[in-house]
Amino acid sequence: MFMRKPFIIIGCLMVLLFSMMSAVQAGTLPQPDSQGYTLLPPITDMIMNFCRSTGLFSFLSSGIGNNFKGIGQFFMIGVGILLLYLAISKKFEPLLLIPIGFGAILTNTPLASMSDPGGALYYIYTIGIKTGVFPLLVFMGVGAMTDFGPLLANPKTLLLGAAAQVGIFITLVGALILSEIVPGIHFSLLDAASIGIIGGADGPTAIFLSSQLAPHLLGPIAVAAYSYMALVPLIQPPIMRALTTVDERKIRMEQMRHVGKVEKMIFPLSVLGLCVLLLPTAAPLIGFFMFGNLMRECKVVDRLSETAQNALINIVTILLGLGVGAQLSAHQFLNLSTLGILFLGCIAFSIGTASGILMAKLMNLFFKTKINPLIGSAGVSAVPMAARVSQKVGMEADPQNFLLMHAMGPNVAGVIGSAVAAGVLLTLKSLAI
Amino acid sequence: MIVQGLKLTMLGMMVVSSFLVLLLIIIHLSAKLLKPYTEKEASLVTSHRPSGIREETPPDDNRKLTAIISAAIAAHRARIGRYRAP
Repeated sequence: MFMRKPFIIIGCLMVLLFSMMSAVQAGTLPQPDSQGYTLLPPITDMIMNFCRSTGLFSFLSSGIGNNFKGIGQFFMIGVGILLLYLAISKKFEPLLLIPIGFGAILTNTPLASMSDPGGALYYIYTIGIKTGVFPLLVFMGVGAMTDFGPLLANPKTLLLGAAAQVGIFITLVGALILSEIVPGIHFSLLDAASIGIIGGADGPTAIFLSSQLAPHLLGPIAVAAYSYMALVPLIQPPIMRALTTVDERKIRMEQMRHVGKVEKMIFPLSVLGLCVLLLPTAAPLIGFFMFGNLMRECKVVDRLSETAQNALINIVTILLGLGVGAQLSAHQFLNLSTLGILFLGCIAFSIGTASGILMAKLMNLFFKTKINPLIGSAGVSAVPMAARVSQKVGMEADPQNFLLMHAMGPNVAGVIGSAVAAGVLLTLKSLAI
Repeated sequence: MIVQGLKLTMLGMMVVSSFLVLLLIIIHLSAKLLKPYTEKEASLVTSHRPSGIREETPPDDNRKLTAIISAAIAAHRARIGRYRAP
């Protein structure tokens, strides 16, 4: 008896809804009279017109003859809610996933057209992301937060940062192989390059590159990059344990030397100089990164440095997240390519981790001073999560072994390495034109 | 297309490696050139330390303590998000 009541109520509501929908289909719009004034229709038509402008009607009606657009939007709102859940409950990159998840909900709100020309999200995307400005401003803030001291104290760790970039390029080839063998997936060389950069484990770099090379894949690539960055503590440890012995994990590294202020100040200018001479296509990323770092290290513009690493980066992060969320529309996200991107992203992270560790082991064969191979995995960027994972896995083998500061070296080297790799991939843009 | 990808992989890894190896050389050179400044700075830092602590603590414990403090500082910074790259 108690169970029947809700069914009767739901049944009545459904009948009411469908009768309203069929009436709304036949509803009339207000017509202007001969003097140009709009005469309001009868009250029943007004109610019907209002019903036609509800989200519920759009979700259900467009599903009938419009390529399941309404259902797609409904599903994408679900994806947005899932991202919010992961960010809030599981603490998966909440700084980015909350704006992205909310942006996804807003952009898929029926009839609001927020990501169509004229909508707020459209302008946020067009002004900030399509032009590449927001990722670069974030990169400037990251530069202002980064201390290159551990890298300068042990510059050999640059090689670990270089090795971990193998993941980017192998994933690029993997994307091309996938598009050859899987029907329904068609990645061009530019698409594959944008997918490969997920292996760089650097959000702003991935967004910048895909906005330049494959804007139609920006949403899935950003979601994959940030999701896997959040999953670094789950993806990396099994690979790290599989590729190292207990004795290797116990290797204690030497105390770092003191790095002078002048050294730290000259470093960003040296990197920029090298970039100008060898790879000008990487200058936007490297330039903004090093500009932020110079502001930090020169110690004469503390106000600017504080702004870049706090207020500015926070504002831009909100807008960047909303802009990326605006790209999570049903027709761009709900396809086989997204599944391919998510799969390749995981491969990219795993290969990057493995190649960093293997490089550290190789270096131990040639150098007198031993390196704990666990810090090699931090070469994939994902600052500072990857360095913390090295510390955690190292402490499992030897609780007195503190690898965190040593792992920060390859970690920041990975950021430079992925920016350089992005610069190489950006040369494709000119080739494509 | 796959062959093009392989070509790009070769070029990309060559450029990334050479860029970072050159950077490694530049860091070594600048560290050597700026050694007098760095040593002066390091000695200033050491001279500002209270002398009693160093004498009383055995060198091994001191090293351990430094490692613990640096790890704690780094963990704290990481927790408050100063190093977090969004």
